[in-house]
Amino acid sequence: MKKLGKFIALATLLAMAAPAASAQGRKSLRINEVMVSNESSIVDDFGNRSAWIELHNPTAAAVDVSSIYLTDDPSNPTKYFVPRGDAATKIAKGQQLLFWADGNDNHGTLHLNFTLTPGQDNFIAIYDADGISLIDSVTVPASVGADCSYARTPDSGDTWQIRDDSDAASAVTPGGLNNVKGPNNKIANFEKMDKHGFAMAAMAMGIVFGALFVLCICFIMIRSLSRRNAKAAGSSDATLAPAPRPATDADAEVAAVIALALNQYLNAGVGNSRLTINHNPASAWSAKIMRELPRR
Amino acid sequence: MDFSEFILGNIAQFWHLTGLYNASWQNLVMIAIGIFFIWLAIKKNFEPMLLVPIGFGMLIGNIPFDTNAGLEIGIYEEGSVLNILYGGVSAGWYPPLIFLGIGAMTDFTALIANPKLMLVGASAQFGIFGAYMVALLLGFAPDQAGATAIIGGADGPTAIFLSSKLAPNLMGAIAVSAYSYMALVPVIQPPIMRLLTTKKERLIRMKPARQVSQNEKIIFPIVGLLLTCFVVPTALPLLGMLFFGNLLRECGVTNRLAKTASNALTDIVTILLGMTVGASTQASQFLTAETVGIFALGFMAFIIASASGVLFVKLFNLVLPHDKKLNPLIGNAGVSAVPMSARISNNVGLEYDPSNYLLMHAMGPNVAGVIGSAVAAGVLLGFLA
Repeated sequence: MKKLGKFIALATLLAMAAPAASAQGRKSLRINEVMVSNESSIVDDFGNRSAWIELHNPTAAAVDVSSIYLTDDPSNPTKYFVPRGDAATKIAKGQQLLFWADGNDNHGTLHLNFTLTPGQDNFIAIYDADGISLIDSVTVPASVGADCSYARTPDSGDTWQIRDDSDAASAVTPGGLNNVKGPNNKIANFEKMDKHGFAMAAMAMGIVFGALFVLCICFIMIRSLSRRNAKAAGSSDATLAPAPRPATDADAEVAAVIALALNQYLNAGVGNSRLTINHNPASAWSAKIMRELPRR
Repeated sequence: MDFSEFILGNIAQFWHLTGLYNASWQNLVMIAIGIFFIWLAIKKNFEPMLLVPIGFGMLIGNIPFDTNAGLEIGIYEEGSVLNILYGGVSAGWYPPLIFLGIGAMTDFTALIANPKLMLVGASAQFGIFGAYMVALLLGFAPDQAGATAIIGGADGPTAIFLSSKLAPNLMGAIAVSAYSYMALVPVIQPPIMRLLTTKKERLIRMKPARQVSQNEKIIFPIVGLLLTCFVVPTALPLLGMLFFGNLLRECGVTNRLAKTASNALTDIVTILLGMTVGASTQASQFLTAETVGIFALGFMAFIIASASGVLFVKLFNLVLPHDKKLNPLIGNAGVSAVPMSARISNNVGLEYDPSNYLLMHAMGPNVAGVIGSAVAAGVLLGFLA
C-alpha cells in the first residue's frame, strides 16, 4: 500500500512536470522591439506599412509560438490566438519573429487583429496557451515618435530604450538582433594585450591548479573524517574496508579462475602448466536438437 | 541522337562521376595515411579502437567524386548521411557522450586515496598552455592557438569539443593529431621520462594506497562536479557527463546503466566519432600548411605536458616527507591518455625495479589529468569564446 502511494505520488509529480517542461521554452519568450507609428520603415508582404511587434527567443532551442495569445488589452488576454500548424510560428534559437499590428488577421498568421495607437501609451502582452499565464508585457510610452522603436537592450534584456535610427547604437532593427555582435573583442584584446600568451598561461594554470587544489583539500578533509569515523568505530585506517559491491558475472568468473588456479597450485603443483578456461560455446542454435534432421 | 550516342553519352557522364576521373594526388596521400593508420592499429596494436575507425574514415572521406554534382554524399555536403553523422562532431555532442562512458569505466580510487596526485594531473596541463604560447609565436590567432594547444591534454574528445567551439575549420586536423599522438604515447613518453629522472628517482617505492570506502567513492563525483563546475562552468558538458558516469558506476544501484554507458554506448559513439573524424580529413580541407603546423604543435604540446608532469613530481618531492615521496615516473601520467600513460609509468618503472609496480599510483594523476584537461578546455573556452 505504501509502495502504491509512492508510485501515485511520483506519477502525479511527473504528470505535473510534463506540461511545465514543454512550455518552458515559451515562458522565455520576450517582447523585444515594438514600433507603433510606421511611416517610412519596413513594409509587409502586402506592401503596407503598419505597427509591428517583435518577439525574441533567447533560449538555446527553437520555440513554437503557436497557441500563445497576443493582446493590447489587459482585460482581454486572449485577443489574438496565434494559429497552430503554420511553420512560420517557429522561432529558431536566439532569433526573432515579427508580428504586424495592422488589424488584418485575414492576411495571415503573423498579422494581428488589433492595431497600436500613436500618441498614447500602448499596452502589449503575450499570454501562454492557457490564456491566463502572462509570459511578458510592456507598455510602450506615448513619447516614442514616428519610425522610432521601443527596444530591449541587449536582446531580451531588462533595459528598454527608444531607438530613432540616428546611429548604429540606436538602430531600428525589425526582425534582427537589437545588438549586433561585432568581432570577438576577447580575442582582439588577447592579441593586443597578451601577444606572447604569458598572461593566459598564468591565469589558466592558476585556475586549473586552483580547481584541482580545492578538490584535493576537500578529499583530504573527507579522508580525515573517514579516519575519525573509523577510529570511533574501533577500526584503524588500514582496515577501512570498502562496502561490498554487488557481484557481477565477471567477478564470479575471475573468482572461479583464481580458486581453480590456487587449487591446482596447492594440490597438483603448477609446474609450467597453464590453466585455461574455455567458455561453453553451446547455445540453443548449436543444441543437438537443432542439428538433427526432421524425421519423415 | 541515336542509341549508340545515348549509351556513349551516359558512359562519358558516368566516367566523370567516378573516383578514377576525379582523383588527385592529395586524395591518394590521404588514402595512404588512412591505410598506414589501419596498419598501425592492426599490426602494431596502437590504439586499435581509435585508429581503425579513423583510418577507415580517412578512406571513406577521400574517395574522390564530383563535388559539384549535388549527389549529397560528401561529409561536408549538407543533408548527406555522413554530414548528419558528422553533426555529432561539429555540434560537439559526441565528446560529452564519450566522457559519460569514461566516467562509467574509470575507477577514481587511486586519486581519492591520495588526493595530492590531483596536483600532478594539474601540472601536466602546462603542456596545453606552453603550446598556446608557441602557437602565438608561430602566428596563430588566440582562438586557433587555444584549440590547437589542447592537443597537449592528450584527450581526443576534449580536443574535439574545444576545437568545435573555437576553431571549427581546424577540427579535423586537431582531432586526428590528438588521437595520433595518444596512440604514440608508448613511443613519445619513455625517452622524456628517462631523460628527466635519475636512476635513484626511478627506484623510489611509493607506499601502497589506502583502501577507500564506498561512501567516499560516491561522494567523489558529486563533490567533484560541484567544486570544478562552480569554478569553470564552461567545462560542464564534459565534467558533468564524466562525473555522472562515475556516479552510475559507484552508487551500486544503477549497474545496468553503468554497464550500458561504459560498454554499448561508448562503443557506438566511438565508432561514429572515429569514423566521422577520419572522414572529415578530405584532402582539400586537410592537406594544408596549417595542418602541418598543428601536427608539429601537437607533438610539442605532448612533450611539454609529459615533461612538466615529471618535473612537477620532482619539485613536489622537495617538500614531501621522506616516506611519502612520489616516483617521478608517474608524472607523465598527468596527461589524460587513460590508461595508456599510466601503463607507460608502470612499464618504465619495472625496467629498473621488476618488483616496483607503479600502475595504481600512476592511475591517480592519469584520471586527474582527465579532469584537468576538461577544466583547461573550459578555461580556454571561457577566455576565448
